[in-house]
Amino acid sequence: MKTLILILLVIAWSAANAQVNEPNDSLPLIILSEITVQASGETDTLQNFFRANRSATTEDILSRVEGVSLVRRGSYGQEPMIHGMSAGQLNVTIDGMKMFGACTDKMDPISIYVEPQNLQGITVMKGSLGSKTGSTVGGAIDMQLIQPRFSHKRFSGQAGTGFQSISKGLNYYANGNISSTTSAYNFSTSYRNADPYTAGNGTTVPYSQYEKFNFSGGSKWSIGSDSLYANVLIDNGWDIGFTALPMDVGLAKARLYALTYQRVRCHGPVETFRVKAYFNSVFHRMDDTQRENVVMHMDMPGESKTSGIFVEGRFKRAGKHELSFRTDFYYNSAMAEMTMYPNNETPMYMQTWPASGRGVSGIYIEDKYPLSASTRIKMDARVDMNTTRIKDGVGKDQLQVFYPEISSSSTAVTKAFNVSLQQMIGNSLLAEFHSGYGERIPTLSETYGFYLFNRSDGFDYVGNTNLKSEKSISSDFTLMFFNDNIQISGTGFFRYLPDYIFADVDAGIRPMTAGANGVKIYHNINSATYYGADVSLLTNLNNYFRIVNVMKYTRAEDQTGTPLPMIPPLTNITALQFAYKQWSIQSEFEGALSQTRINTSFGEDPTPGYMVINLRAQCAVIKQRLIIAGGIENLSDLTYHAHLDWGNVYRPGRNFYSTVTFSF
Amino acid sequence: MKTLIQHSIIIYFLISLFACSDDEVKVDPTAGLAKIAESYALGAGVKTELWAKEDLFTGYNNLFVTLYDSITNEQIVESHVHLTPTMTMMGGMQHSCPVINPEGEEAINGLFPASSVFTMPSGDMGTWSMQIRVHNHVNEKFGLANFLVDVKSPVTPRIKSFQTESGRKLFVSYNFPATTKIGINDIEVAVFEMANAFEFPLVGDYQISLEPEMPSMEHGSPNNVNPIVDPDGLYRGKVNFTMTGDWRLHLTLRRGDDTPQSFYFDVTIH
Repeated sequence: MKTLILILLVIAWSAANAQVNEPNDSLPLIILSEITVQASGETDTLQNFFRANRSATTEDILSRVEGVSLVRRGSYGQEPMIHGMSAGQLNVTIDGMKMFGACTDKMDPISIYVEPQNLQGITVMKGSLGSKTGSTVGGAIDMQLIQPRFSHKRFSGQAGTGFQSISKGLNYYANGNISSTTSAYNFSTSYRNADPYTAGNGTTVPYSQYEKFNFSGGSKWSIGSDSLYANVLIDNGWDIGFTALPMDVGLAKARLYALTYQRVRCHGPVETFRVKAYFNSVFHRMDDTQRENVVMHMDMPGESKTSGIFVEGRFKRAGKHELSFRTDFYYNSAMAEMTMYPNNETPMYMQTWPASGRGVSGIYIEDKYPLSASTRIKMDARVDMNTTRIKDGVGKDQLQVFYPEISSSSTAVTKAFNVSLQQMIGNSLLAEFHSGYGERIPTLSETYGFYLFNRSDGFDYVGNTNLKSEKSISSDFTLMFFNDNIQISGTGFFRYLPDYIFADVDAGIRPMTAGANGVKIYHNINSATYYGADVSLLTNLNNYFRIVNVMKYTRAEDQTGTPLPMIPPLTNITALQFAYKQWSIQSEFEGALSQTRINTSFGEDPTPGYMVINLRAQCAVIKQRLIIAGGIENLSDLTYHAHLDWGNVYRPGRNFYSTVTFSF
Repeated sequence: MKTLIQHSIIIYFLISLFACSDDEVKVDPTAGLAKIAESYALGAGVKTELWAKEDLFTGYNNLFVTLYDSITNEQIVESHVHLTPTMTMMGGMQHSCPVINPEGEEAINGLFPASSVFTMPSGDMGTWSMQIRVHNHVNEKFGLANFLVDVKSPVTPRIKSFQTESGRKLFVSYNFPATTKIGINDIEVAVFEMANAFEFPLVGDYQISLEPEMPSMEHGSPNNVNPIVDPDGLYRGKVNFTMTGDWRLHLTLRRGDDTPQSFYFDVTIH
């Protein structure tokens, strides 16, 4: 069949087989190329590794996943990174829906608008394997919302509260599920409030406060064996400090609405599919009124709206082929403004993101096929048509100053394809080899950005309307050894990125921001190369003890061998867990080696290595209905910062925390 | 089919008949302009109106003259139009200022465009009057219309003057043909020499460099185009404004071995 010629035969373990969290004593199987983390509140000890502190944020969970690091500009709103790649190099989605932040300074990656209370799981795909939701070079993070559950129990839920001493931080959370025979409803909500925290040396880290409210609700109706599911997510953040940046967030508001139809009855060649239509909007306003020594007050609001629709599903088995597909369309429009108020003079207005829109439609096909009893192959391919448009008006007039011939719209086609081969060797060894190609379109900032000030190197960044897509040729090799007591896997990866998007100084242009060092303009460089390894270990020493270890290492440089900026050094986290009856105690050692491979033209400096120790304990009482947890993070009160922390701002010192959760 | 074509032709004819009626609403060419004064050009039977983009100020003023036959009220779109601004000082002395008369004798959209670069404001120094000489092609008569006009000092100076080493007195002023906005703006610079109290010819042999800056932020903008002289004697270039607010246009005029003349104009972009 023609479709089969186009579809490359590919094999991997299916997602259903390989959830990291399995609520029993046997070792769960970790998917090699796809990592899924369950985040819903249960007492599983592995889940306690990822969500170590019940007040943990979505970012805290992500920071423990293989290959994932966080760029920290403030204590809340850290930006996820996979193997050193971030922002436009990744697809970050919520339930497969695209959403884009509204801040030119990357203060609102969309993970800031989602709470662990809302989530049932997070799936991370690395490299071009993340192309299911869009052609990509760096990978994909999909945060899956908890859906209403049909259950014989009419009403169930959880409520709890948490406290952190280091920031006098309070967290209240609750979730609930109501079920009847034909319909089910759920909600989750969370409120956080924290003052600025103290670092290890006793100094208060200024502007590290935040306040946040989140509510998510869903309704599901069953129609025969199919279902209709509607959900809404509301997230408001106020007064979120960003210590490393010149401004904080005054208000960050996200609204997400979705309607999903899931069909499981056989319907022609498609066995099961779901259609989701959605709309989300983000409003983000930066604020400098809390800062001292502000030379000139400025208002910086930004807005981003996305609407989209996708269909994804599985075909009926054709022989041994497991074919699945996804086709999607989304349209994102965004604009960010800046108004400056000089003393006794006319206000100055410009658009840092000119009003623009981007429409993307694409198709993805995947096939998993067993070549033999011990060999599986998975192949997938994606193609996207991307149209980017700048709207007439102030924003376009501004950019004409740099690009007089700027065209109103441009179209680019991006594609990705991957082949993964899995081979069982004997009974305990699994090898997986992956090779793939991916592309990604430049972001709004990289295309239309207008004098975006970068605090790290002190330059104003200006977009380039003539950028080419960034490409990636990648390869990964994984070896996993497992038996009843131990599971250890190591993955080596290599990524070669031609036309890497970077920014270089244009000496002929004076900067706009007072005190800036100059202007940098985005352009494609020859290439960048990333390589490294992730090693994970999971072992039961006996029925009571368990060790989890996740180590990550990335190295990246451009074609001249100069290190790329913002690359984390070798990081490792080791957790020793002891569980006995209703008790569980965990001690963690989190650390990193020093990072001396730095890029000075980006304003980086070397970062010393560090190690912090955390102690955690948890007790489930009243037939597991009440869970009391507490612990000490950064036991030694170390004064430290990680390499990806902007401005070398110190991390929190010794923090005593406790959480109480009641389930009903 | 034949009847259809016939019907179409009739309908089309009827439409075009009505489309060309005299009661059609005409776009008023003076919409958006400020009326400065009106007077009758005695001797030619012409009602003369003087319009401008804004109230008159010291600097480069875009003026528009409209002419109507004083008996029939028909608009006159063909005439020789000649403007002579005159300032009468306290004490009786009189002088003029640079002026650019309409090219040719055809009105554009009913307007005769001209420019007048008033060199000082009305007030203690004296009063300005504008004399417009017109020619009514209907009765073949010439006439003079006289207006008293009020010239004010603008918020920020829009004309500068300097003396060359050889003693010539020069005036420099600028004009934006379109309303200023963020982005690329066309700009005209006019350099006039005071040959005598009544003659101010355009000077076209300078090299002008133009650099915009926002004084409160000490930044400029890239890709500006220095004004270059055109056959009509005005210098034309492009100024780029990257945001609204208060900007300063730095000009430097160079000519041969003369000392370069530098000065600036402040403009506010909305």
